[in-house]
Amino acid sequence: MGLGNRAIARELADRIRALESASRQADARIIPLGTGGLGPLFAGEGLPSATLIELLAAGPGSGALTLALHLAKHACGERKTLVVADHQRSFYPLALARLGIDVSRVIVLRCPNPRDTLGGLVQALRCPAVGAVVGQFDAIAVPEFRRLQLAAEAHGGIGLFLRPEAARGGTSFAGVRWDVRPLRSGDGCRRLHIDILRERGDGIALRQRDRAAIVEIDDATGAVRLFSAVGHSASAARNVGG
Amino acid sequence: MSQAEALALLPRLRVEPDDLDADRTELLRWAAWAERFSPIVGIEDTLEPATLFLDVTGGASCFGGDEALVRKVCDAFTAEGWSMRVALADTIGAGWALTHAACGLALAWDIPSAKPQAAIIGPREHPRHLAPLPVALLRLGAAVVALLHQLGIDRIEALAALPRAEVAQRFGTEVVRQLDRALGDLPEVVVPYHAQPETVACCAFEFGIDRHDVVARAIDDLLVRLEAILERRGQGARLFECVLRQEDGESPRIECQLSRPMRDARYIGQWLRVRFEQVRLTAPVMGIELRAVSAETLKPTCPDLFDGEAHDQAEALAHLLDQLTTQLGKDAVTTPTFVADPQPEFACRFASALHQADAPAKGMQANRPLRLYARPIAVDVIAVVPDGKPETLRHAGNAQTVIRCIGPERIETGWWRGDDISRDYYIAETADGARWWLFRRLDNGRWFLHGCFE
Repeated sequence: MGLGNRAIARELADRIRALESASRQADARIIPLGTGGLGPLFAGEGLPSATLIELLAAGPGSGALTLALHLAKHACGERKTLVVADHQRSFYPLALARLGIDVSRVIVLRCPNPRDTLGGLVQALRCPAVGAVVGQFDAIAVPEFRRLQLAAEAHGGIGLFLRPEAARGGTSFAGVRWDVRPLRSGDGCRRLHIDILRERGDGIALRQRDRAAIVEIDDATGAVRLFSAVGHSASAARNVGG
Repeated sequence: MSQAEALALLPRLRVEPDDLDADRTELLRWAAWAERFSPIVGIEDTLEPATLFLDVTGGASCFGGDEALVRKVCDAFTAEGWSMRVALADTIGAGWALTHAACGLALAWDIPSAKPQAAIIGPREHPRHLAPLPVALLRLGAAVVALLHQLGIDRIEALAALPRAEVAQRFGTEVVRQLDRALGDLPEVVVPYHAQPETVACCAFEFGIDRHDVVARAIDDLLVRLEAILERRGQGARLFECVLRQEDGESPRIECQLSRPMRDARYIGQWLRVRFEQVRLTAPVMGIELRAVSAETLKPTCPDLFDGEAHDQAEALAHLLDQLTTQLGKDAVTTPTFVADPQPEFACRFASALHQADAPAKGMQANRPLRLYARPIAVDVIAVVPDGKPETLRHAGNAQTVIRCIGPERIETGWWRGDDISRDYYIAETADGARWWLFRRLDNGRWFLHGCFE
């Protein structure tokens, strides 16, 4: 690509971002995550509505689903419904009460086909009664990702997606992207290391940030809180001797 | 016999939960069926009705007399596979008492040809037949019956001999009322049940139609007609069924299930059309039947003056459920319900979200994983001491050191369940920080991975 073409591409990209951010700002709001919560992990000190959040996890047992459901709980608040995609047919909702989630406001999509399930999540995100959707997908095609994003922007819903590490290099429309790694637990708490790979800054533009933090989940109460201050990824790793 | 005893004797026994609503619905269906014997058929007014009442006053002659009528009733129900007892008497109370009397009771008249036990009590003979029967057969509450027994009033004749005013004062007016009803001193009528006529709209074509769009248009027209019928009756339905009669004799059936009763033709039409698009017509369509199944009274909804948002959200959620159910199927759109079962794989069920109001569920506070494998995965585990905690876990070709382990939590089920289980569950954290839920079978010592704390 020549220098001129590159400049045109950059200008077009800026204009698209400006258009997108204008449409987002109309309905965007920040959902507070409480004192000691995960707010500092987000650019606006809270959960940005109308956003897709990707959690990259190395494998099963990482704790990423717990984290996603914790964020979904805040997104749904007291009234809205949570939709969980379970095409793997392994989701076990008995643990939801421990996370403080009202099971009577949970819908589980148990369609065996991941593509149909994604279609269902798009419909759910477009519904004003749905606060958040949670799903685990190895692959999400670009058009489907775009549909999810537009659906999330329709009524301020939040889409939380668990993706494998291999999805790191793929195209993503997620406004927030975290890399979640489990750490050794301590003091009766499970600890997760979070690398913030991408965050949407103040509803204006995406920022690539090199920040990290450690989150802990209380074994006894299921409470999720920030263990270390958000800092440079290297310093967060030092906090746990990682 | 308890369920456990029955299962011990017959392990393959199929056990179904008691469903009072289904029982009542079935009885009402048979009440409608029994209208061939009498225009006035009702069911008993209790929480668990099990008796049909037929008012055959003046109607027996149409069947050739009392005996012929009773025989016809017995034969008809027996042919449908029912075992039953029939009594023809002057009063509802006497009929009920005689059909519910113990098997060994001497009845006035037995029909030798019919297998069911049947009796015909002649005019004004019922007091004589009621006299030796227990007071419980007057359809009284258990507490009153127990009290009467305590006082030695076991039979109806003993109760009838007492002054009514004193009985009412001592045992309540209900006892006197039921006694008088049974003896015919107080009138009691059969409250008739009339099944609602079927809510259906249909059309037939002169020539077979093989164009999808024309058939879809015809369905839309039928929906408008059905809406008008339902509106006249003040009803809606949760299930709409459309049958397409084809030239080749095939009748593809499409249905639209909703989360709440509706009759709006446009609303129902949009979901029915989605289903219709999935149908492949193998021959031209000659006719269409559109039916509102189990129509029910449509209650008017009014948004809360101070909380309109809640009403809007409920409407939006109902719309979403209808949409998802149409596209993915009702088995794919679910809400979790919990069962008090110690075995983890049976403690949670997924029911259709269309009936979510019937399924309130509360989770448990015990530490359970968010992912539970449908079939536990066999794994190799090394423990330092026999029957001890796992030290090393080998799964999917990788050996991981267990750095932290919580347990055991013993989960056992009773022997009467057939495949009873006895497991020691552990929460194991491996060196890479992953958490697993694994168990050791106590009968053979083998280890299985049952879930992960995702």
